[in-house]
Amino acid sequence: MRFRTASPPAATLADSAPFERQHMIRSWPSLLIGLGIPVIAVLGGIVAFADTSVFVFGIPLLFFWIFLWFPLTSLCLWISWHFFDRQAYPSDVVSS
Amino acid sequence: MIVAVIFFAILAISVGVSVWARKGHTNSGIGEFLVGGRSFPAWLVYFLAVGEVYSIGTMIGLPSGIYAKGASYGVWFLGYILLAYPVGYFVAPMVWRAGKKYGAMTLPDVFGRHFKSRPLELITCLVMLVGLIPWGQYQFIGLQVVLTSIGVHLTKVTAVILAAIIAFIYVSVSGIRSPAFVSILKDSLMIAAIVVIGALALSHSGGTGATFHSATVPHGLVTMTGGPVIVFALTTIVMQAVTFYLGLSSSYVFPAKSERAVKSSTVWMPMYMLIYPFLIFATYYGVSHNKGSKTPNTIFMVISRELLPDWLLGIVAAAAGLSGILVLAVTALSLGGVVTRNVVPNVAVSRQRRITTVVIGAFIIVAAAITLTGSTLMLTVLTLMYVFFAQLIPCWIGVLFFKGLRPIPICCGMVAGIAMGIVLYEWAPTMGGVNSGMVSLGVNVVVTIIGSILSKKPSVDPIRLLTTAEVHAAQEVPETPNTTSVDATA
Repeated sequence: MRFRTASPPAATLADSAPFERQHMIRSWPSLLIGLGIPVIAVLGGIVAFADTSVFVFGIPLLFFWIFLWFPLTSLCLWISWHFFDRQAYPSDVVSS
Repeated sequence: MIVAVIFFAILAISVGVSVWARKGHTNSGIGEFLVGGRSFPAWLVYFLAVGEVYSIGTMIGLPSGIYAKGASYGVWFLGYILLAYPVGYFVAPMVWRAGKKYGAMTLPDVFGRHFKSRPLELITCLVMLVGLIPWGQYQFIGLQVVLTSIGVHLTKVTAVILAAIIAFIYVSVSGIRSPAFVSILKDSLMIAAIVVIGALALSHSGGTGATFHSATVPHGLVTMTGGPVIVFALTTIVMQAVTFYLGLSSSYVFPAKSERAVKSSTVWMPMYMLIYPFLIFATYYGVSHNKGSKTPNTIFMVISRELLPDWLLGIVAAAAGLSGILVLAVTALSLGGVVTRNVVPNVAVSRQRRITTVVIGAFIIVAAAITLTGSTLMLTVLTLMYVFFAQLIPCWIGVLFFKGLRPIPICCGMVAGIAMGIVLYEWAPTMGGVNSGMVSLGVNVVVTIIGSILSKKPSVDPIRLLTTAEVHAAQEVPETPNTTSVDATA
């Protein structure tokens, strides 16, 4: 078996044809902000606050942290979309 | 009485909406029926996707999970939905692209055509059939809870039959289009209902501090103690977040009109989760007042009945009921598509829609019948469903990213994964808390990779390497007659 792309594709490949190949890893900053930050924050927070007795506004920190990441995840995705990805997805064109 | 009147009035309105959704789209080809002619704009994709996510599992299942198992069930439930969106933001456009390239309306369409393998197409159907049974059961358990608590004397059987009939009406009228529009009605009701209940629960118990911190809520119920509990939460979140888009997503990704619509609609989906804090407040109010019973599944309706006036209870019940029926409808629809297009070969395009309708009816009946045989904690049924659907992940990875995977080893991997999933469900070892889906997926991956190394079959270029031009060109020359209806309605 030849795993031609055992490692994620290089960013340069995407850069050379941004309007053509819109694969997942178009832009590393976008991936880091849109996926990396929420995943690390949510999973890390769960581990860190699993058994805490801290309450924020009367809510257990464990739950408060997850609630906090509802809007923050949208924010991360919006940053990825607005600053990195939007221009690579031209407005809806009917194909036929 | 008033509860039931409002409940049924809202259901009647929803059926009206589903009929209205058909307006202007009388072209009734199978493509229109299953994927809405691939024409949905971002906002409609948004409602279709969140409509599936915030199903009856949210209102009935989540509170019962916390009530029965403590904070960890709340944490993994919220965590996996939240993290599914960042995953989907990156993966869903590629899923859409694969669907477009192969003129696909179902998941087995994509897999079978990508690898040019009939066995793979069939095994994928099998995985979906196995996986959708717990999913249908999950909806029916919830519906049964709702319908038996609205004050009219419905037996379990009547409740389930009633739900089945309405679900059948939705999809048989105008396919995928009606659930999308009914979603909007359901979401508005559901947001209102949850916010009102959460707020009332807070005011009754005297604020968040009193809700979570009262003497009647054991500290162990608001925290997660012990390694295995945390490991279970983390592994479940990761596995289900990935499965969410690489397993379950085809029914709400394929109808989108473009990659842009898919991607941009994902950005705002986490905001919708802001209704969950209210639901958690209500749940802990229920915990602190020890409302429950031996049947944790009913806890949400028990809380609602106590806190709400009758007319509001009717609205809440309708919102919960609608969401369950809705998901059932979409599920039955995609299953119908799978059977007509992938299991039974060479069905003439003109007959596909009729056969789909028959299969939808059959699925609803089977799922309803299974529900009547026992009562399980809803979130346990949910994890089982994800264990099955997770087995589709390696194949998707092969379709999207890697050239190296071969169809027959993928089939073997899926079968091994499903078998492992069933064994672990029945045997229920602890495994240090690791989600059993993670283990079965591991088995699946190992079998797939080893088999692919040994296989001599030529490899296929993944979707990642396609250009936009190739995707559109591929559409103009359909590989099988089945795809023509998509082109006709696009």
